[in-house]
Amino acid sequence: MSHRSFSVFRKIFSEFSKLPLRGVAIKQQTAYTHKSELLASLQQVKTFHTTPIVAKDKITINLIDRKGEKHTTSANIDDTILDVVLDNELNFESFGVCEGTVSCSTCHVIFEDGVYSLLEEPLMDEMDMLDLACGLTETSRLGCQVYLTKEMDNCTVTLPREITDARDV
Amino acid sequence: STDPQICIVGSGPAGFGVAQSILKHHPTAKVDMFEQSPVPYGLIRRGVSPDHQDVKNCIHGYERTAVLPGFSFYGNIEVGSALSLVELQAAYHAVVLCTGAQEERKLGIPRENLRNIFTSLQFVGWYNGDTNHQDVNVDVGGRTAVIVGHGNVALDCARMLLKPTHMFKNTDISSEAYNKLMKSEIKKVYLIGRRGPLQMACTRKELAEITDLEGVVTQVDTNVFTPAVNQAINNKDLKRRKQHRLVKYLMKVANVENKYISKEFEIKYLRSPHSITTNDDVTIAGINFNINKLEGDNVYEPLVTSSGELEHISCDLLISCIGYTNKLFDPNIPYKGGKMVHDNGRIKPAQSPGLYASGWCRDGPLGVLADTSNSSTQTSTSVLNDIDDLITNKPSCRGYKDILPTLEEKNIDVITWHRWQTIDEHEVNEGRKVGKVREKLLSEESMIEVSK
Ligand SMILES: Cc1cc2nc3c(=O)[nH]c(=O)nc-3n(C[C@H](O)[C@H](O)[C@H](O)COP(=O)(O)OP(=O)(O)OC[C@H]3O[C@@H](n4cnc5c(N)ncnc54)[C@H](O)[C@@H]3O)c2cc1C
Ligand code: FES
Repeated sequence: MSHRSFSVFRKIFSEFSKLPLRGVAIKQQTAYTHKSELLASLQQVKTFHTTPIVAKDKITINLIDRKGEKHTTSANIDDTILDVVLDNELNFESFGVCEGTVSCSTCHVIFEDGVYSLLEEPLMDEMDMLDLACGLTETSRLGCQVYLTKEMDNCTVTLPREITDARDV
Repeated sequence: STDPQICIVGSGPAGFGVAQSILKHHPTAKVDMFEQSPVPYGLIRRGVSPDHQDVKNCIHGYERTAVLPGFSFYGNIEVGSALSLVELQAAYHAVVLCTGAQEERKLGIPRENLRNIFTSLQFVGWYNGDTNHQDVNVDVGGRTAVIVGHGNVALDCARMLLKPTHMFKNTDISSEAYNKLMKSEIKKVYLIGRRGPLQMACTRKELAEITDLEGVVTQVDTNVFTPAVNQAINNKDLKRRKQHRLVKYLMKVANVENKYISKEFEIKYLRSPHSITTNDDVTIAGINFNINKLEGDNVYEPLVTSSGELEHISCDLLISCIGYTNKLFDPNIPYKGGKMVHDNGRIKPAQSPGLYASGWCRDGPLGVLADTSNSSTQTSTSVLNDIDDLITNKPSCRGYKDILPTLEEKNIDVITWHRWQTIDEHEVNEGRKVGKVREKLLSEESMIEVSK
């Protein structure tokens, strides 16, 4: 199975299987006086993950946030950049707003030339969302669509700086 | 020292974006959000199409912000009537306007008030269960609809009429709209714009959501693909990438033979609305368009001139999707070209320090969620940079405590986040009964009632 078809399979798998996804942590709750209080507390711990739980090999990646600050973290091969951001609770400003469903372009990241050329070509839905990404560059990709590979060890991925550049709806 | 008291007006993506970053960087800040509607989320609830549920995932992030200890939501409070901006500025160190740009734009042509003519604000509001637009009486019993506009909202409206209605069954579309659209007789939808293909504001993705529909044939007069256009789209230019991909795609899907045709989608260019026609002085019979020409050397920003000729297109339904305008929120706020004059989100003139704006109310009704997020990051950075000075200058601000007397005096039934959660639960439960993600309540009264 090619890497891409594996990732597509995995997406389908995680969408339809009722297995809990990694990152979904439901804390043991104490007595709640109201249903919505419980709901609220669940919402606080609810996170999501685009790939299922499998033990994976690790690489190191450097992420540069919107303010230019560098975060070096270890990351699982076959995870997406979005997964890395979520798992490490990097809490980047408005990042991954549509939760990896290729509907927002807020997970836009910029790769180094060398690494960019190693990546598989973006699919049509990623191309469409990239059209709307703010501050698009020649080496831009969507963080929720790029899966980490061994070759990407020690690479640096940069979030676009804060900018405003609104276009017609 | 005093904790910052920050007030956000409006609970759309801009408002939640600002709240999110302020609370992230300043965990002891007190952020109060005022919303005119009893329910939050602005256009995410009332604008984004029911078949774009993934876009609405952003709500999960807003929910996580809303339950942070520093955050409070106060719905059913219209700033400008229930509370004045002056009152808010006295009570809070910083006031951030995130009120969107939801004034409708009409075509401004004769007989626009006839039956079955709507603005996108009305039509979208109708199918999305916007409490302000439930009285519109959309008649889909005719055969032909004309949509004026070439933006994504125009395509949302066209898709609503072209896509098999049962495909909306499980969404949060209003049931009233769903039932009516199930009986739709519309077989032909025109999408008509003033300029050429390179000026279309929509995205390839939105267009493909229609052209990919089974049984829908896409018609385009290929004369619009002039040699200049053909040349332009092959230039590599990241800033024009969106337009180039769109036009290339259009060329591919235009007039493709289709064995089984159930509906027609015709995209027309170079047409400006001139006047509505009618046979009985009550209902629309069609619309006259001025035929335009594009001139000048700039293929992207051509000069539009009228050829003086008219074309009549018969139709039974007309929806104008020519954008929205900014409501002049306060006479003291300076505007230029439909946008607020600002410095990184700070509203000038500086005689009122502590006033900020973000999102569509600041930048005009342009762009998607990503643009609005950007705007919010910028504005919240300014608020955070200024906050210490603002506290020093206005040490006596007590936030909500200061305005509570006004709200009590005016007898305003404030919808807290807790009460919204009750409404939310109710809507989700009602939806579940009929296999929908949500069944929206269609009046403010029913929302308030349910939340009690
Ligand atoms: C029909 C339509 C479809 C769209 N579809 C998409 C899409 O698929 N994907 C995408 O990325 N983007 C889409 N957008 C764009 C997106 O909705 C906007 O980028 C975004 O909603 C702008 O956010 P905002 O917070 O500035 O304004 P809004 O979302 O309009 O929020 C403003 C809020 O302020 C409140 N308010 C206004 N005045 C007052 C007052 N005086 N007092 C108190 N509260 C007040 C309003 O009730 C509202 O809740 C769409 C837009 C439209 C119109
Ligand atoms: S998270 Fe929205 S497109 Fe990637």
